[in-house]
Amino acid sequence: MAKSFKKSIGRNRMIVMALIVSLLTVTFGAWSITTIINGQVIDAIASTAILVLILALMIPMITRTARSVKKGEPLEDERSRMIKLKAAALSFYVGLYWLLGISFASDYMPGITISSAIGLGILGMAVSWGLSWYYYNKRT
Amino acid sequence: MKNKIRENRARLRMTQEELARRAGVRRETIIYLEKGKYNPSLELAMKVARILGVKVDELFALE
Repeated sequence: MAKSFKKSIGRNRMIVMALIVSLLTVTFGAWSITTIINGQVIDAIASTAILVLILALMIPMITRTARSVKKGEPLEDERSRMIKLKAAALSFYVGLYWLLGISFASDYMPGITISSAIGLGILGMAVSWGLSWYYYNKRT
Repeated sequence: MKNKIRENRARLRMTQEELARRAGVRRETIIYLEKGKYNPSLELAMKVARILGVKVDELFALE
């Protein structure tokens, strides 16, 4: 009973993760295509790079969750919670400097629009969380 | 921190997966514990010691 309940929670989480990845892929795919058509080189490179990073970080996470659900393992334990906490703290600092850097750099980059600068800033924070998580997961 | 989880687990012919299941953690956590890369909480240390049938201070030692 408890095991099947855990499995259903795991399946639900996987569905949510897959939905998020699909939405992000569609959004950045569309952004990437639009910028390529409009000839906005910086935006095109940025959007494609973000798309690749999102897929590179999220696909291992989804497969990891799927493996755990299949084995009936808990999706979270004290170590994974600690890693998430550490990753959040590190990415907060990295994200702040990233946003600051983007806001200064955007003044000197004529090819970048305000909306894409904001988008890059927010996505940089998300990517920094993913990279921090990867770093702590390997180290701890 | 050094530990003797691997030795005690081998003594009982227990797999990492079984130990993880009984301790209520992921197998990864057991792997990192055995490698000495992760220091467990007091609760997990006591759980693992109880499962392996040893005292906590026999299982973990400061380097």
